[in-house]
Amino acid sequence: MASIGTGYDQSTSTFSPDGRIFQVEYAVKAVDTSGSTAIGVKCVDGVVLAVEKSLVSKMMVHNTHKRIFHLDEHIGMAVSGVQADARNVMNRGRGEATQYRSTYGDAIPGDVIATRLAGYMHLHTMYWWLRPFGTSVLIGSYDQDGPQLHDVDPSGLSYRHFAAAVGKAKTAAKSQLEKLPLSTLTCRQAVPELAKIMYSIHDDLKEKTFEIEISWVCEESGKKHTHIPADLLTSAVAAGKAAKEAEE
Amino acid sequence: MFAQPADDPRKNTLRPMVTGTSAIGIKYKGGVMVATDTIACYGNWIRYKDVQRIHAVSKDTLIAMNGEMSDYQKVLQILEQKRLAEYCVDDGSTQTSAELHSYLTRVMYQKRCKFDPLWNMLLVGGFRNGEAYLGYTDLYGTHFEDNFLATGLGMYMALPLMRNQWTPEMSEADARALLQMALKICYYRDTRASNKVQIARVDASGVHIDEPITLQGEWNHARFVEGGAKSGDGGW
Amino acid sequence: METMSRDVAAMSGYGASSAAAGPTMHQWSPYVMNSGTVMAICGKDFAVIAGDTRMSVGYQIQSRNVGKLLKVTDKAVLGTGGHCQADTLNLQKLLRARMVQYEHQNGKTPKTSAVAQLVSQMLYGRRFFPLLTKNIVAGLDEDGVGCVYTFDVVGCLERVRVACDGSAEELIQPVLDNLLERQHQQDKPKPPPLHVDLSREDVVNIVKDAFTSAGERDITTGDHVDIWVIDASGVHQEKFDLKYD
Repeated sequence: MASIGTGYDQSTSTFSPDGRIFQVEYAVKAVDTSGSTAIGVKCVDGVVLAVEKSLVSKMMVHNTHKRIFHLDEHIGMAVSGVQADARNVMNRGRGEATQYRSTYGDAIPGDVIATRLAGYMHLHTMYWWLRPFGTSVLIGSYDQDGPQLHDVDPSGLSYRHFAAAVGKAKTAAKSQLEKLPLSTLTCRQAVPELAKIMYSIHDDLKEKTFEIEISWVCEESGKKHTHIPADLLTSAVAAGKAAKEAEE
Repeated sequence: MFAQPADDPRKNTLRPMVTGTSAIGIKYKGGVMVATDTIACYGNWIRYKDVQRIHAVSKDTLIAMNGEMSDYQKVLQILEQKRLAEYCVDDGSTQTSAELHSYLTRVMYQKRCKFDPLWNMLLVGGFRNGEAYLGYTDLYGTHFEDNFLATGLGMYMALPLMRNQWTPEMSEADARALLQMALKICYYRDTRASNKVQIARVDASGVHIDEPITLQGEWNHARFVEGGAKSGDGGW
Repeated sequence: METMSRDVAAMSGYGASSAAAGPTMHQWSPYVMNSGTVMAICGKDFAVIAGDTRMSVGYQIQSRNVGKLLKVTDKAVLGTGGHCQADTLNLQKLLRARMVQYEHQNGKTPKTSAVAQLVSQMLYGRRFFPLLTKNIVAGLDEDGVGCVYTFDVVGCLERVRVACDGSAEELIQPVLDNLLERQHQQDKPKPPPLHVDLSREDVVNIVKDAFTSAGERDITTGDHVDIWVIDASGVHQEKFDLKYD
């Protein structure tokens, strides 16, 4: 980063001489250094989202540090990066979903909510008095057009994906996702695969204890976004651990 | 007729236009059952001949309406918004019928205080943990619970019947029979009631809204046929 | 009772009917009169408050079992008669919330006089869109002596020995004036300044007689009476049956 320290990295409202917006790049960096990874896969019958979470404290009440949220009945959002920022984006997403419903009397489509949240996050890169969000999110939805998976990053970019990863180990996760049979995969099949990826990309040296959270919105869940059943999660985690041990 | 004089804020309340008539409901052993007919009238004209006036608003709560149809649709929207907000909280708890009822009365009362009432009388029925719930609220925000309730003209015709015949030990079949009789009486005497009716219930297995059925009226009673002619006043 | 509904409506300017010239226009009124009666009497170390449980609209009984009393603290009960039940509920819900707030902020339960003052403030807060409620607060004061406060619809507050509000007010109040205040018995001793000089049993019996009589003449008073006695050990609740007609 050649221009660091030259004064062009202090504000989102000023480009550097070589055409970069450093604050946005720093925000992306904040996502990657925050420690968690979120991955998502669009399957033939729905979308599966997964996040890894380090256990902050042994005394913390189990299951109270959620990283996958409902935006509406048919939309889930998995987040990585600065949690407080992610909560802000989540609230905006819920507001957009409610507002769309009251205006059009129908559930907000996945691409619309992704576009609106991208616009919201982009807005935070345009004014000197705002700080970009230090969070990248994955949005899994199921509407009339079927299942969709989108990502939104701090710059306000949003793409639709067959499979996506955001956060610390996104590169390693993506290379593993590419190996999955994405055009034929079902949600049931995808769940243990995502668990395996989570275990393989986890950096054991840095922190030993972590847990994974998996949700889906698919035909099996009645096209509603829910966390996967407890027994399915247990067997997926077991598969992930077994794969990790076999690898070692 | 629709124009509101801008200088008089007191006249911003419209009269009800398209209306549904009585809704009735009773508790029985193991559940709660409500019933309405399926028409909506514009004045004396049957504007809609097949409308649903009972809806599930959560997995164990339903509401039945009387009054303005458009206001009722607004009520459903408000409750749906509430339900989705609760779903997003995702803490495993869902609102009880009593809580939904209380919320609904606050909505109705607030609207009345703005002189813009939701022109409805509503029944809230629910069943959870072995307890049946049946509540009433209306365009003023009035709010109470009872073992049997009726709205609109049903208050005059169905309520006395239910006061005579209701017992806490009623079975589902007894409840259905009583509601059908009450609906039939309403159909005989309420000009804006229909014999195409819909019955719904909430029990331990959740909300069940039956398909509409058609009640058979008995129009050949001797008093029906002769009464008017004999007494000369057309009444019976 | 209907007069009162009209008076309140007129006071707020939101009347159901208007005497203005020209064709009568159907004007929606936010008030509906659900009627009913409450009364309260306080003694040396107790207070009795009672309210019937009939809820009516016009000639229609909507329910036979809707109470009019609210336990506000262990030493204070609010009774609301001659009311628009929606307004009563609003008042009760807000009052309950204010009680919790008071306890959180002050670390103690409010005195009955404070409850009465708060009710007065809440009623006056709606001075220009009054709550159609006739309220009585009964309980024990800080010395353990029975107390009764009455209010008008916009919160004018007065401490009295006996009170009656609602649809049978005109039937019951004169009898209370005679039996308890002895206003018409020149040779009998006047009651003490703060309370009546009758026993708890006598007072409860007078309440029962009053409601039985009112139920015979007032169509909107009937079904059951909640009779609550407040003393140092708390609020004791009793139900007394009236006729269903």
